[in-house]
Amino acid sequence: MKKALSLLVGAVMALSLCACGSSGSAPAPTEAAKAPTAEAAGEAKADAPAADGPVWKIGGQGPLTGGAAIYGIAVVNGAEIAIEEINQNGGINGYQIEYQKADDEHDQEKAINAYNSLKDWGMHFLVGPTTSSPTIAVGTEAEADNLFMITPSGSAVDCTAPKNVFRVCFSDPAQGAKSAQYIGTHKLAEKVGVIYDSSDVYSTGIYESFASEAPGQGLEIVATEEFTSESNKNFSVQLQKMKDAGAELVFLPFYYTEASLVLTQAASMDFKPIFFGCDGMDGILNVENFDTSLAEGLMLLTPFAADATDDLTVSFVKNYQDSYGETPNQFAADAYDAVYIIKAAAEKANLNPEMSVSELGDAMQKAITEIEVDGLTGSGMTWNEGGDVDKEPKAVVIENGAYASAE
Amino acid sequence: MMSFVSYFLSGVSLGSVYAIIALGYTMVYGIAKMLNFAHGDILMVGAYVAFLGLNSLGLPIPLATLLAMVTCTLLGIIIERAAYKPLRQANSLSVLITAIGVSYLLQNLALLLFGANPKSFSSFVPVGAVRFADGALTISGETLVTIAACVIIVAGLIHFINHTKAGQAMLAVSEDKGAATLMGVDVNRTIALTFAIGSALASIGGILLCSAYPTLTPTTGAMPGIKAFVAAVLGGIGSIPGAFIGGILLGILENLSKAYISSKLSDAIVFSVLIIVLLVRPTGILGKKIMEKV
Amino acid sequence: MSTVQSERQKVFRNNLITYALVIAAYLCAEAFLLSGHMTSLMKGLLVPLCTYSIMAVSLNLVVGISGELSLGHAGFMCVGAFASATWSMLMKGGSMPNGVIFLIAILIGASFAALSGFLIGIPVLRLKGDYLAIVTLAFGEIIKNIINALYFGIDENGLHFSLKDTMAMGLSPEGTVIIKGAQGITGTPKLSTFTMGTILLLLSLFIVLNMVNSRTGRAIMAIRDNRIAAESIGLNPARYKLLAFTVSAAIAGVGGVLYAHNLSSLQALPKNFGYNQSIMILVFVVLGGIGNIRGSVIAAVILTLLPELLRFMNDYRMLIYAVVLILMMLFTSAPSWKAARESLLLRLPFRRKEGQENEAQPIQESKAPDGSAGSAAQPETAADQKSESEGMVQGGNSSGNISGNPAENYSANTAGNSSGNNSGDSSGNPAAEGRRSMLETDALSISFGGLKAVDNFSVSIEKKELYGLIGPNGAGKTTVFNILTGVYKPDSGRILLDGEPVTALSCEDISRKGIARTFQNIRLFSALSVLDNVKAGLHNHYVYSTLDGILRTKKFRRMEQAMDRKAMELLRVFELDGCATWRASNLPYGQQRKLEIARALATGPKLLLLDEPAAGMNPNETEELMDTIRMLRDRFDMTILLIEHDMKLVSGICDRLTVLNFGQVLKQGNTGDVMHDPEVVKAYLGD
Repeated sequence: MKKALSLLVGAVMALSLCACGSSGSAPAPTEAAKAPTAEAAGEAKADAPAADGPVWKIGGQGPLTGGAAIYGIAVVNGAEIAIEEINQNGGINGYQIEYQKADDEHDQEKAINAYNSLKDWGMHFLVGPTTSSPTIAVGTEAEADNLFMITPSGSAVDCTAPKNVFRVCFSDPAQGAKSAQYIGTHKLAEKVGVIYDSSDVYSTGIYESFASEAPGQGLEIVATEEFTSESNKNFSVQLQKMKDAGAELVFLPFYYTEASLVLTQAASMDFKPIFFGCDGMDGILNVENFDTSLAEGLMLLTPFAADATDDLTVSFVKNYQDSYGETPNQFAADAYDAVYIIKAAAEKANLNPEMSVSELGDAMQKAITEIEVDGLTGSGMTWNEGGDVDKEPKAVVIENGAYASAE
Repeated sequence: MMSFVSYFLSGVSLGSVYAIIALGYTMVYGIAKMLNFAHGDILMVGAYVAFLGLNSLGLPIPLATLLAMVTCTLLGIIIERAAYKPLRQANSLSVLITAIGVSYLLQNLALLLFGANPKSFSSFVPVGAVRFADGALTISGETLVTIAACVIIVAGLIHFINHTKAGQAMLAVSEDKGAATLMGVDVNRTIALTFAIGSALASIGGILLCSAYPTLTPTTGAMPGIKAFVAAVLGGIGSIPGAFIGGILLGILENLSKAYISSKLSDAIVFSVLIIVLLVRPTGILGKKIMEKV
Repeated sequence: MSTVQSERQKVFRNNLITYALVIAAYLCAEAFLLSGHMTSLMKGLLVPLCTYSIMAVSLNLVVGISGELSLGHAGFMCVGAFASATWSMLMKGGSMPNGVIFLIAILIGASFAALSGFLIGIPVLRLKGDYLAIVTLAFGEIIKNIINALYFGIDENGLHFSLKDTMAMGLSPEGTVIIKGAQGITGTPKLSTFTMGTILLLLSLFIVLNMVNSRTGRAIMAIRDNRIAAESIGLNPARYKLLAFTVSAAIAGVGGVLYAHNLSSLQALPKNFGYNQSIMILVFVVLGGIGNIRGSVIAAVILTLLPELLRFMNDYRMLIYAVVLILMMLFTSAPSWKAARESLLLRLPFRRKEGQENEAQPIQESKAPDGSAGSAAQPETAADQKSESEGMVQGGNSSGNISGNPAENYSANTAGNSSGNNSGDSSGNPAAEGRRSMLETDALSISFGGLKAVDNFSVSIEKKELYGLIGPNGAGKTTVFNILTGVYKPDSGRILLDGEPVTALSCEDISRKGIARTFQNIRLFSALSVLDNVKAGLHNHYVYSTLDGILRTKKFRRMEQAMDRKAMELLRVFELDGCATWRASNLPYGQQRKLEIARALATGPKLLLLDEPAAGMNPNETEELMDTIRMLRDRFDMTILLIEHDMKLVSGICDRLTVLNFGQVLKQGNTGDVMHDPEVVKAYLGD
């Protein structure tokens, strides 16, 4: 028994050491190093005609398995669509892009493993991670490597603390404060209730800034109720409390998976306040088989709407549906934009894949603050050195099963 | 007061779902002496099959339910044969670990087959909500049906165990496998039957769970599975009435602690109560007191 | 003694191999690191590998050694991680050097985890198996839930807590938030290094392996194997289980410290500190072999590497992982697969020696008292024995007194007559020196649910007397034993042992006072060696602390040697010395009975209770047993009370008898008189 185990561990060790031996530590995208790295990384996903010369290597990461898989899969898919488009149109500065995705299981430690595996593959830029805690953990690593990283959806404040990390989405406090301001200035309600996920970084982040901004906007928070990832099915108690407290508007700063349950249960108990969500709410109309009439009147601040009619959104949504059979949500859109932001910055600084990761990192950090990008999630997006984006959220309201501008 | 009744009833409804799932846990434990951690994932498979049956194949509700039950029954038997049976003589922890492997397998298989996006489950319950006191108190059809289904299942199971040959065989196997074999009971068949019934119950639990809380993802079964395990232990694992009582209590406890103490700390409160109950009654509420003969 | 020594060397060698493996792996990894041939992925995995190995060692102490199932070990890890990260955040940017910060962080993490281990360990005393598992699972979830709700910060006024939100803490504007609810701790300094991790792993291994192979470990495993027997020889299950749990929690806390200081952000997510993680650690332990510390470390390494090495499978990664996990489990544990594997291995050139096959059974690590070792013990010579008995005197001195047991007499006897128990006839001559009661009970009664199991039981047994307790089945004989040894508390009545009241004391205290017993259905510590069974009996006479055991102090060595000598001495009396290293469960039935008596004697009793010692024996064996019992009385000056159905044995050796019927004393008196009493005959044969 012991011997069998020892044999096994020996085999595994040998295997991993072989892997160590074959792919060198420094990413050298030369012909010689290509074979082993490709082997280690498996099929490189970008299907552009096999480029002979140097190529860009962009990594994407997020939870591809487990409970948060929905967000990670959207991110890697969204990025993949953008990369295919760019490759068809001649790449970045004339170089094609190879793409590799990695699973971080929404866990800090696994996120670093995923990041390292991408680094071994020879990644130049990272689109990811998807969720906040992995983003913070990976950011520190990437800072040490001076690797340029743009997270589509890591919204916690600390995500962009390292100098090389930028993001496409709003930060949580920005969303919370903007939500409170919007509700206040549009006089949607005075008595406000909040339900949030107290075990989630995103949700607590938004809640905190909302709660501190609310009084200044003439809002009275009459009830605050929490739930956790361990009990996120039954919301009847929280809703009953909102109802009893006389909340005219209920703020739901969490994702649409749970939000669809909240809406269903509220309907079944005849509780009909205004429901107000954030960007995580986007996607609720596309939940398969969801009765969209339940979401009638739901307001949300979101930078992206899948049924917007501008050309960019229409073609993105169509491509995404063709490739993956689903309607993209805001995560996919953020990732799509992230790739184009990389493209814009790399073109601005006139970079090429022969440069070292650190050189690229320096150049990109400078270039991104000098560009302006029109994307799916905002037009005229610009970045400050702190890594945060400047763009306006759109407030939408759901009418007849579709988004309509709330202005 | 109306709020209390409403909290209480939705607790009973949640608890009924826990109870139905816990029944499967407890039966399998009683007979195979193993914790089937994959039970929650069988529930998820059942819900997906029912969903597909209703929405993709266009089956009527009873047929879709039946399809889910049959699929889960087969799945339960296959899992038992392939992954658990070879380990029946081994250390009980080995089976536990294999069950965890099966759980991962089912979750990841579902992820590949059905994708990560949630599906909104159409309610399988044709009964409308009942309103009292001018709408101050609303009881949803799902609540009523879940509670009724749970009571019927418990009564049916108790009847089955006490009044049928197969049920008696189960009792015999759970008491003493060796002796049961000597008495001519086919232990393998009895264990397979237990898994079949447990899995069929899981599929019903899955359908009712998703009817009441209509989001379906590959991880839908994980948390209810664990909660049902807790419920089964709370009631006294191995005991069918115990699973029922444990499930209902857990549901009520969860709701009332959310309502009157803290919705943030309700998990901690529920689990603390569990610990206290077990300290007072070390084998659960209806668990058999094990006296070691000296 | 050479057997014992070789056994100890084997343990030592085995432990050494474990350390050597870790060090070799470390050096190997360092070599790859220095030569620049390691992938970033592997580099990033080095610290996690240490973390999970430490977790595996920690959990194996509870699951394998102490025999309790814990599903909440990630909770201890979580406590250690958050406690130590909070400390490091407080110290960050201060003048304290990083090394010192980290060392103190380790201590803080370990102590906080140990404290929670102690608290949650208390239910361990009452609960068993799956019920304990659920309590530990609940604990892990409670910790996670509370930490997600916890806000903690510091400003010039001191520390602030809240369970609500950041605002509720009331920090001044200059204050810093350290734990921010679900957002956890951000910016933990990265102090964990591979070297540090390896050192901590070695340290955990050192502590656990040394603890297992000491008095403490023996007690823990004895309690695991048979709690009732362990209590009967004076071990305190509560104390040792709690100890194992607390030490294990402390080590898990260290794992948490390593984890926290390897990542810049720390949150309590279901993935890292939830029950899934606890179960994953359990997988390491089960796959590596329950109780096999080295195996669990190896399993931890394999299973941590596996999903990373499967990254090239992309979408199918976790699916394949699940399949591999199931197959591995079947491969290592399913009997049919095992058989297939063995036959395959036998055909390979480097097949293992016979006799090690049963290693897969959950025996404690590094101790494989299997059949083959026993035969190696044969060349135990008379010369050896002589030198032994010389040493014995010394051992007896250093061991302190064995309560009231005339040790000199005992050792002199053995020296003179080492060949064992055929020590000639000993026609029962009770106590020539002054008749004094060794045991006196006064109107003992106990009832169970209305049934009077024992009613008004009074008896007086003289010193060195061989006293029989007989009666039909269900008469309450064993219940009397259970009352005498503290398993049951009598409803009324009094027990005096050698003039001292021992009524209703705990099993442990009664054992210390000097009552030892055997059991109707043999209760040995089945996974321990024959020698260790006896050494467990010596537990309360050769005392050294757990710390002595871990640090292998002089005191430890002296005591262990003395214990070995004393135990071998006893085994020799029962002609069991040849199989001292066997696993107790591998002994033939008759010898198991003898071993039980030897173990009881090791506690140094004044009164020995034998519960149906001849059950299941053939006439020859019974004859031999009668000799043994007489020998016990004569050589050890032992007072013996025995329950027996075999009338030949009873009439052959007992001086006096008490007959019980329906819990009441039917007759008492000299053996001959009682045996022919018509009432007794009637009770036995019916009307």
